Amino acid sequence: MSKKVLAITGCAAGIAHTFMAAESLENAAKAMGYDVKVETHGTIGVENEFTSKEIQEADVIIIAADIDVSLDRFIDKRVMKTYVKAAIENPEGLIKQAFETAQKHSVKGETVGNVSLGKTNNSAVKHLMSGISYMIPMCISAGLLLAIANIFAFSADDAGNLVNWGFDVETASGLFFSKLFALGQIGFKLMIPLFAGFTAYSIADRPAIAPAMIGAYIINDPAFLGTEAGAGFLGAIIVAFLAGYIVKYLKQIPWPKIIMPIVPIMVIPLLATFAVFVVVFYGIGHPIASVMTALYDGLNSLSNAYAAAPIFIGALIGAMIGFDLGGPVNKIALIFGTAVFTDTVAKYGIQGANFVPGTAAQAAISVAPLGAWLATKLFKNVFSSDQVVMGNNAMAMGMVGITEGAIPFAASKPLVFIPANVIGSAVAGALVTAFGAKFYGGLGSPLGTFVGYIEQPMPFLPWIFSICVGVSVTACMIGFGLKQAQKKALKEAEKEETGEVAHA
Amino acid sequence: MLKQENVILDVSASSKEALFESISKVALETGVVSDAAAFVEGLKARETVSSTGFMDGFAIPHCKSTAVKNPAVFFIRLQEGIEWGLTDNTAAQYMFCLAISDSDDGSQLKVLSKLSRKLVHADFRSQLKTAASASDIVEIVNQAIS
Repeated sequence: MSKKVLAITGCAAGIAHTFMAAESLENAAKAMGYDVKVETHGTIGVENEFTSKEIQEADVIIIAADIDVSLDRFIDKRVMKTYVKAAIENPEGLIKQAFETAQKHSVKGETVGNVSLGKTNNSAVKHLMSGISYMIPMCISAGLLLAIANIFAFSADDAGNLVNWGFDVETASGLFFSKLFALGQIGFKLMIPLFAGFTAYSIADRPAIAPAMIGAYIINDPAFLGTEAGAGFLGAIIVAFLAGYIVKYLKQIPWPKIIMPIVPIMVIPLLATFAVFVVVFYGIGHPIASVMTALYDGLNSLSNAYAAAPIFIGALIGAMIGFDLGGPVNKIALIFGTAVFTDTVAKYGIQGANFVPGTAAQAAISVAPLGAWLATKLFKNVFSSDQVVMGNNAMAMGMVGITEGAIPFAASKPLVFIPANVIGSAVAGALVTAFGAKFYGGLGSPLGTFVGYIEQPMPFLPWIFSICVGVSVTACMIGFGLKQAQKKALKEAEKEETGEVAHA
Repeated sequence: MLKQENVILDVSASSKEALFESISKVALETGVVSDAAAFVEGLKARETVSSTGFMDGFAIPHCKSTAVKNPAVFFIRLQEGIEWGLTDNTAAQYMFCLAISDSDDGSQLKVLSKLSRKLVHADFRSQLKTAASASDIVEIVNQAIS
């Protein structure tokens, strides 16, 4: 029985390319000896729709569309997503690739094909990541400016040790660097409202930006609150969700038609900003600020009391990064790292800032994809030739700090890859922490030491060394695990021929 | 659906825009559109979304517009190909230009989807390329989409 390919095509205008892609895929699949059916999502509407039986029987489903296509019908089917152009340019290659690399579409959605990999469908995390993605450019530029200014803030003693942190504003260069330092600090201060604004924007669109930004500013401003310190990142997260959902609720009210034009630009932002102010100032502002103060004081005293504490935190954060490769656990570790860094910079200045979780997270990011790549080089015989090619892909992604590069591997044998990724990533996280490396900004990969700014005890090496050790651990565990699995599979195959392979 | 008066052979155009201008002129003369400028704008707007270039020298500029009174297909053969962003990086020399009315109930789009599908086939393309006259082209196309 020939294999069955289903495909959906859809282009932006839905007039011509949808059908060209459909025809190309049909011809190519027939020429390759597959059964094929293509559902077209054009301007006319959906044509040639799949029946549930066809979906049930399909071996692989290709989504070649520039428009949004719901994958709800394809749970537990192997799905590959790409653009309509790919189906027109090289339909044979696309079909071949789909059979090789398409991943099962699960309800969680993190293993779909090669586009939406590592995606989390948890909407709260999605909103936070959206906020963070808007914040990152500011975080990096402010962080790098701080870092540059910081280098000039030290004067060296005779032995070459750096002492006396501070700027001599009497001299022109001292004034310049003190201003540069202040510039970075302003960036960090603005970053919190910016983050909250765009997180709320992700929840409820434009009207949510003003209440969230103003709310996040006041909850982070000790002078406004009359507290010792601001509520930092955690406060900003709470304000962002508060503002976002207030606005979302306000948008559902059936406002009188006559004021409709001014509802999104005036009525909603005004009401929501006022509501956020009341809640923050009279409600949550003080308690959260105290909790945050206690938390960071606690982290600091923990680090002071037990030398191993930061290393443990670094390992834990690294492990989380490697666990689900861009899924919710990974994102929480990233959010935590960013939060601790920005808050402690604001609270204690760059000298007292806690770099541990942020640095560990960045060091761990590239371990899983690079580990998978190294394993394909070291243990060639346990991988298929396609996986060896995929390994090169993973390396390229790992080098630019994309954890998701390891997903095709992890999805193929999760029980082998996930422990290997977790432990290797934890090792990298722990090692950079042990070296006392401080990540200000740049690439989360070995290249970060060149492309970015990392303060470390000696140039370049500690960062690269830590990641390489993590990568080697992961690669060896993968190789060992796959060999065991292969032996086991051989034994079982001798006993009986199961349909497991066809299902995988 | 393809009429002989809408087959434009061996025109010269220096750019997409220049070509759209000359197509629109013909479209206005043959009563396909009521407003040539609006039609040009519609075609240009579609190109900014993504190139309508196909491959092997073919492109299919198109738009759905209120300016279209009598929906039609144009076939254009250029003297010399122009850059259009084709997937195989060839210059675009042969175009089907599709004018779709805003009130289309789907029947025009159906025909166009047939034409688009046909264009994928190499033999259809080579027939069009080697066609000697406008009437040959009309026959080839109408046979293909009937």
